[in-house]
Amino acid sequence: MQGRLWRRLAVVVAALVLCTTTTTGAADKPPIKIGLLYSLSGMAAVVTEGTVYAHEIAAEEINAKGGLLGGRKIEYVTRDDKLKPGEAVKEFRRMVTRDKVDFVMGVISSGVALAVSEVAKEMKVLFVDTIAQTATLTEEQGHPYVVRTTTNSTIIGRTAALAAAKGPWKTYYFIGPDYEWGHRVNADFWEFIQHKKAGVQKTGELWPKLGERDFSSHITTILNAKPDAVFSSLWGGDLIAFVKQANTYGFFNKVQFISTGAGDLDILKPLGTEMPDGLMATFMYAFDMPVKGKEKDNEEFVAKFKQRAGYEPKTGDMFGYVSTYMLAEAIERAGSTDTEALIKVLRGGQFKTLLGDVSIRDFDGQATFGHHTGFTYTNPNYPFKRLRDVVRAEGEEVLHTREEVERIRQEAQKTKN
Amino acid sequence: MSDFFVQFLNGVTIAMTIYLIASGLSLVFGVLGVLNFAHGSLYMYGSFLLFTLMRHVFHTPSSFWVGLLVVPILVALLGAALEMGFLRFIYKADPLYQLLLTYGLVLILSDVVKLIWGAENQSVARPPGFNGSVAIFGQLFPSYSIFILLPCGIVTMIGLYVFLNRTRLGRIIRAATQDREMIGALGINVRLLYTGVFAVGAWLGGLGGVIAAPMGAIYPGMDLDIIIDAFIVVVIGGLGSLAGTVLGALIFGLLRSFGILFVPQFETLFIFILMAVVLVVRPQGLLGKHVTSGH
Repeated sequence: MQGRLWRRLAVVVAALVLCTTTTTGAADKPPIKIGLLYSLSGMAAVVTEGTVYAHEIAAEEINAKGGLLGGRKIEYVTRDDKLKPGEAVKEFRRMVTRDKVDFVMGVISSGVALAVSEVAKEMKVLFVDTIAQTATLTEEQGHPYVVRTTTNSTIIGRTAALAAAKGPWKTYYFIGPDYEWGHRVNADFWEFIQHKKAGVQKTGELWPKLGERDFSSHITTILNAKPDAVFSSLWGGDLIAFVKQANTYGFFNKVQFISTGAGDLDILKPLGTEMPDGLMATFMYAFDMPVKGKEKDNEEFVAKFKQRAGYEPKTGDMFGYVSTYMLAEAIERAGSTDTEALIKVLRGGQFKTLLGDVSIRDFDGQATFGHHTGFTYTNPNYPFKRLRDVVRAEGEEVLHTREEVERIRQEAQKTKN
Repeated sequence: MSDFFVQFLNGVTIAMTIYLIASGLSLVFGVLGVLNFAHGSLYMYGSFLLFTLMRHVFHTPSSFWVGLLVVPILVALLGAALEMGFLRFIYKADPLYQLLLTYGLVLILSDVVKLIWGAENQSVARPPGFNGSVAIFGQLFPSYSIFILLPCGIVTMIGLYVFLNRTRLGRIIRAATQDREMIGALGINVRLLYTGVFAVGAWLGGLGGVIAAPMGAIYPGMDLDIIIDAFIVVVIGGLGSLAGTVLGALIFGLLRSFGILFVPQFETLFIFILMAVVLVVRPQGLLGKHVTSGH
């Protein structure tokens, strides 16, 4: 009996020794550890699965070329935030204290981003927001330890407003998911279109919960208000359900629908021919419309991504790839993974990316990516709708200026006190 | 007036969708005494199986009708397998363990969905002839809701009522909710009975998934989105009471639709207030019987 116990102990000890020696033996130089925090389960997994693939592709490319800082490989620690702020905060702390990551990239939900960002500030750890887009993150609640390598709600809302102002629509109805993102981007659109077009009116707004299934009441309520246009920040399954149900009411013949999410593949592909033509949609990246001068790089990335994921990259996927490269560049420039050194080169830094040249603004950490508005149409080459009459707005043109951001922060401070 | 009527109809449609899910949840709790958290997963499998059938097997929108017949049966078989493989071993365990087990099943089943179908959004078309809408009092209303969703809901309601109250098997099932040992002593195979009831519950979940699929998106995570609402309906109506589930679903649907009409900024609030009030004033639910402890 005792002999067996000893034998078992010996096996455990041997296994432990083997484990530790292989890990320390394999890497001559310590890896650069990056935490990836995404919603890998639930409704947002649809979007973030590809983002993680793209992060991995970028790291593999960089590692194959010998890594960073003279041979240090990128290694990810990937965790699921379950689309919940509480869960995200817990995982963030765990990644920093237990997994010893150098910094954390990720999150899809704006609500989650705000919660994680507060912890980043408290722990003095760099948080790179790659998908979540509320402007609040870098404006009202901005701090040195948060940087965003994607567009924000101001860029998106204002890009849509610029395009909408050119149309004949005067009365607007608003619908959006009832949390940070929906409220923020709808406000960004509304605030800007009032400057760009005289006499616009808001006829109402609806805030269905995230994950709503039945929009029949929303649709009839909107139609009864008879607006010229409807601005929507619904996304994911909610948007698909809305479009499908609105179709049966002839909704899209009666109002101009302006959507922040409808231009991306996670919506266009499943809807196929059920997506109506002529819908106005904003989008950041489309696999078949690369930035000028990046056609070949884009083609290579799309092929590589498609092989890995089985589908063409969406905007969120592209940002996984681009963000890893931006951070890799920053690590090289800083010559270390030290948080303060990284922040210094990130903020105010210029980066060449697959999505074009971009800078990260020093006063709010917001990247200046451009955004697009287009109209859906039937393209015979694809079984799903594509976009045409595309207009691009550069981030610099539409983002809040330094003075505006400072004023927003002061006002937020006032209401807090 | 016509606004009012259309919003009323909308409320009834919402009620029907959620009723199809909640009735299975309530039936299983009423008979087996298990609060099946994985019921939403069965609904999700209904939707995904319909997707496979329509997109990969038949390639035509009219194959929806085949799916309507076949898919709920497949989901019922899955349910029976789950009951025989897992749930049957924990009927006497603490409800907390039951919840843990069924929640474990939720996680497993949702990972299997991602393995088979991937994490992307999917969608299926409505069956031909039900893409448009019909005018009711001058207001348009989706024909799919009028001619498919509503009849399916009503037929299920009547069918369940007749089955449980007017058939011998139904009487046995109701007796089993009262006293499991007694039924066993009368020579009835209780194990088989329980598997059967769980399969019927799963069939209802699968049917709900099929009916709901053409109206929205099909995605991993739709299980958890619906199960919360189904729980709310069942709690309001009374756990284990099928009449209560009908009432709970109607209240749920009408509160949602009129909430949107009158106070849109708080559309989801009313239902939670109502649930809280019900829990305080009448914890067993509006039509629920007093919960007696012990077996």
